[in-house]
Amino acid sequence: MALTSKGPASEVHADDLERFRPAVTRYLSNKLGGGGLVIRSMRLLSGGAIQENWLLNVSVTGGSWSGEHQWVLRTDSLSAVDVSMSRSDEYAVLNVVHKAGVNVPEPLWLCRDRGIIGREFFVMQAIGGTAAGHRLVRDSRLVPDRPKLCWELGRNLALIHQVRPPQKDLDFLPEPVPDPAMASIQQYLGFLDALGRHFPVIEWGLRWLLINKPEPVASCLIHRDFRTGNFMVDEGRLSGILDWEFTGWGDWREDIGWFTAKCWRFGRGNPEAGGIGELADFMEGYATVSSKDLSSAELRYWQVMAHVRWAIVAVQQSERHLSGQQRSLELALTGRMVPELELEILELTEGVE
Amino acid sequence: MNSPDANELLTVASETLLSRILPAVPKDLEYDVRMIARAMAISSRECGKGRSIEEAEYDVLSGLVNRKHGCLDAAEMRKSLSQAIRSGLYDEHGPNRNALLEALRAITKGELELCNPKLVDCKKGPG
Repeated sequence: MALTSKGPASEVHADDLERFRPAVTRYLSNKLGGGGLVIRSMRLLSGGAIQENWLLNVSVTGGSWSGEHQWVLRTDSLSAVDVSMSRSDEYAVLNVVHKAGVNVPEPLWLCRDRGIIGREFFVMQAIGGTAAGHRLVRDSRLVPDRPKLCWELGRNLALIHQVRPPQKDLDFLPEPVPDPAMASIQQYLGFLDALGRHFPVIEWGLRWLLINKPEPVASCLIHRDFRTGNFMVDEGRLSGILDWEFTGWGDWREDIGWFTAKCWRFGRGNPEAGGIGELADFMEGYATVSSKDLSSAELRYWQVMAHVRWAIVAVQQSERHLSGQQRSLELALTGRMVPELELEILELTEGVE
Repeated sequence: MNSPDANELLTVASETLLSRILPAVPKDLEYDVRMIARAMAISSRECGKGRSIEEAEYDVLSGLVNRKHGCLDAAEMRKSLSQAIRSGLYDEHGPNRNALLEALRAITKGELELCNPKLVDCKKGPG
């Protein structure tokens, strides 16, 4: 899990964590089944208002785990309201993709017993590096070899997409639908209708998506938030893909549209592969696992889908603020991002069949 | 009219925030300070030209929406236009669709003048 900041810190103090130290120590000692265990330090990592990540520095003496370890305990924050995926579901997803060879923090143990820290949690290996998108796209010291990183990202995404339904361990995911694009369009129209305001450009984007809808392809596991900012890079190499809470069955092209959408290039208009590098390098990595072609029309289609989705989420986030559900300057400002997403929808759809 | 006006006050306050306060705050508050400056910059522009942009949007929408139900306000016209788009009125290529896209681009550019003006000039487009 991320060792460095992905966003503003949540409001938990060191003392709050400290009181769980004896219980977590006992839990981990039991899991190791031998050897002595000491938690040398535990602190809350910044980022994430819905989930908390506690970094544990652990010393183990004796047994197969003997040595120093850095683990992350991931749990729901006490103020979590609308959790999209439970920690046990997320643990199952991590397990499946880890077994599929995807570069993720290795999941270690899941604890459903709320008697330990009052909430479900799981423990995984900590990973190093940074996920900060605005730095990764600009700072060549962080990414000295951009083609290589793009290649790794492409290969890892293809490995995720190799996971096909049905999967017994993922039976909590909604069933695959015959036409994911159509399902998304209908879902987003429903979201629009639930808002008190009207957005003709987003409406146009959805209409264009309907008119230009491609033939559905076989569903696979998709990440649904695969973008710069949601993977860690350590010494120029991919160290782990994060934030699996939107994962589900869907169209593999959706992930590539989201990853390459201009809104996720952190202000760098080009290059197309998440502001990091060239799409050709990314697709070359993808092709080492799965030989799939993506036409420029398909790419454009799923980029429109990405901007429409992000525009609707941006409106929803501003509504969270406006309704008083969660007063936040960040959420309020997100509402003011909608016009730039709308401009991109117009750019992508204009003059295209 | 008060002088300096709201636009001027917000502009100079935001400049002070970025030049004097930002360097002095702890690192974990920098993001918040930048967000505050951004909110002030948007508000400043809105105080300055929000009204004229709103009027321009109203004119563009009026040119597009059939006002047979009497005098609609901007929100009602947006609703009516959204319904027309969803019903397929602009599906066919041709002057009708071109007029829609030109209008949507004009409205969006107006909103960007307030939210993110640096995007307004660097984009291609017919209008």
